[in-house]
Amino acid sequence: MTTYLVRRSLQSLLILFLISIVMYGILNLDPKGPYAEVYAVQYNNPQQMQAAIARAERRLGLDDSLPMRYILWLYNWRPADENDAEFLTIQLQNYQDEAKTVTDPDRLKFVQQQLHNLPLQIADVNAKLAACGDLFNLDSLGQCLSLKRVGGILTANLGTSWKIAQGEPVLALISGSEVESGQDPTSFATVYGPSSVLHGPLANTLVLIFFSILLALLLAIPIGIYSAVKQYSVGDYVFSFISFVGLGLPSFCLGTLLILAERKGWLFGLPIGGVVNNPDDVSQYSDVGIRLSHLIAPGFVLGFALMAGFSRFIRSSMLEVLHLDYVRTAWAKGLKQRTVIFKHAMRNALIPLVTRIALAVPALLGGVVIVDSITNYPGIGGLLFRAGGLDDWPVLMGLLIVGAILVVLSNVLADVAYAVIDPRIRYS
Amino acid sequence: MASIAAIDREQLATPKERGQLAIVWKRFRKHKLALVGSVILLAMVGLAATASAWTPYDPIQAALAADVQQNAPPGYTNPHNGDYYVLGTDFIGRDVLSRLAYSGQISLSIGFICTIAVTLIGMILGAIAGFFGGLIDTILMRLVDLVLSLPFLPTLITVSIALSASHPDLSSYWKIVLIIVLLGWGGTARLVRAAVLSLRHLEYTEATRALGASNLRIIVRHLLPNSLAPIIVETTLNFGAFIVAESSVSFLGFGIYKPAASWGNMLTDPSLDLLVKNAPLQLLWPNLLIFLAVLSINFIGDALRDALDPRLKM
Repeated sequence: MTTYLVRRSLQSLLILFLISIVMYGILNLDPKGPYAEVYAVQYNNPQQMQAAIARAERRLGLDDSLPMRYILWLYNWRPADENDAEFLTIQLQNYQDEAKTVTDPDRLKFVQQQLHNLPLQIADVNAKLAACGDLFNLDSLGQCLSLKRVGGILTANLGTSWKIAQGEPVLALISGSEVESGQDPTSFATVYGPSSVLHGPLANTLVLIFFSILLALLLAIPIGIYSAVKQYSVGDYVFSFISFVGLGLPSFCLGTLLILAERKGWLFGLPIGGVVNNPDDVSQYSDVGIRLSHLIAPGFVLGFALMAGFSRFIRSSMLEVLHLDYVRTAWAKGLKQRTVIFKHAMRNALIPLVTRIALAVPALLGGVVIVDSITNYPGIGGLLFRAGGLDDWPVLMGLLIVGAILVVLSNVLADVAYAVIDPRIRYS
Repeated sequence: MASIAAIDREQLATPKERGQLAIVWKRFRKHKLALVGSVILLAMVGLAATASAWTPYDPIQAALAADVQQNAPPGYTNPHNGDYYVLGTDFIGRDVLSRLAYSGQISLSIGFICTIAVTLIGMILGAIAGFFGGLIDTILMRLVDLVLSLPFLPTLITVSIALSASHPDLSSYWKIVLIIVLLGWGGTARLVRAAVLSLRHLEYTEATRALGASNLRIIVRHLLPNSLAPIIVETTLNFGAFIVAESSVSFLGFGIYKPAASWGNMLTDPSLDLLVKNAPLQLLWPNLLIFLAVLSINFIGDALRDALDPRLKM
């Protein structure tokens, strides 16, 4: 099992690596790369424009070849720009440490001078960063993008958002940490509430996915077992019909119909949108009742098709098991119906379901985009929708990487869970 | 004596087993829902394909008359020029029925083209991987792993945006076709490879090889026809999945661009909120068409799975 896990993990890493190459290549289909918009700037003076473009290209690393850019995107080892706030801050800290121990008077004088100058430089850089709002100024945009460009994706630095929450690190945006309110033009904070990893976009989406799987299972297992045990009964036909409706109605159709029902007042005031009633009230985030009520609508949209698929799957899997010899033996022994169905048949019938659940994750990640955009649920799907609408390339790229990691993880999890639950499965 | 011999010969000459197609059709016929689904789907395809012949109005341009009615209810007749709108008009006075017909044309044809392309690519690459094995198999299957590890809809959205930026002259129709095909071929390829792999070492393949058949002939004449059943089912289900994929991405605004109509973007034209407020019926029509199409395809797929499975008794 350990050998298998190691091999599987290495394979997954290889796949993620290949995905990153493919996605980086696609985003750089244009020779100017995803930065094409930078070039849409109009300067009155052509020379000024040339100079501005040259500066921007250097800052964005566009003067490198595509493979080199990809490698730098993985890990940027180049010395930070002299105007880089992070670099300057690290320098400042070094000098502060040095000031405590230094004995040479000349050196002390130099250090003190640096301690005086560096904060001014940092303040200057921060002021430029604050002026990032002017997108159509090449210098300020280049500044915004390069300021946090130390490291790379290998050090979990997914770059800096261009537009959704300008100047914020993409990873902080996705996880929900340190998103400063009031800094962005599209009122990011009013949708996503006060920043916290616990109710950031990624956590919200994971909660929603978990909730919809749970909802689907809670409904699908009883339905599937009932339909199999009472095959061709009225109940079986009714549940089959519901399942076919679920499979035939894509999530965006269900979502639009749900919104229609809500506006007509048919949902008895079921809250749609957000995770709490008032995003600014911190106490509501720990209120399970409020959180659950906000999960019902998106969870239903996401979980309905899932429930339909699961219940059909459980039904056929259960039917298969019910015809096996050992179940007939159980009946022949005179065991109670409950014992035969739940202890003998169900346990074996549900094993393949584990794989099925894990393999539903890729589809759920797609569904999340639609559910978030329709019901205004603050998850990574909504983030992708907004980033897509605004051409916020770094956020898109970061979300794709996070999505691919989730898919690959769920695939590995499916195999492992299968082996753990079913003792007959042995990986070598 | 002679008469018995004649009967024997007669029985030999007209064997009881019918052609494979007839058997499949007989089994398929038993699924009433699949039959209804086939009729609905054929009707939809027929109506969409002939849209330009029977739709009364232009789907993109509103009537130029100044007195054109917006968001008119079904069965509306314009009192000034007598124009009749069966399903009413949309928010700028275009005929809803015409738009639905043309949107069906776009959504169904995208689903159809993508399905054909994906099946062809999947069959070719899957057969190559399964038949030749070795390094080429490893490379192709890692590629399949890669494609299947991408979250479908998010990747579709991102690539669509990237392509729009880098190739602004590419029409949104062919852009979506291209991306769906690029992202969708993995499942079919994996399926075909597994089928070819299981047939490759069977005696009849060895026999064919011993008779001097070329690799191409073995693959095309002997391996692929024998693995056709799962491919047909997969193809059917792909058709539904691709229609949903196109509609979803158009619904989100990254697929077919307005004013062209697709089942997806009609739900947000002009916006979901305005449709809900002013014209809920216009929200229901595209939903109904998607529902009917996907449901029909699912029923047909299920029935084909049963009909093509030789292990199932009749």
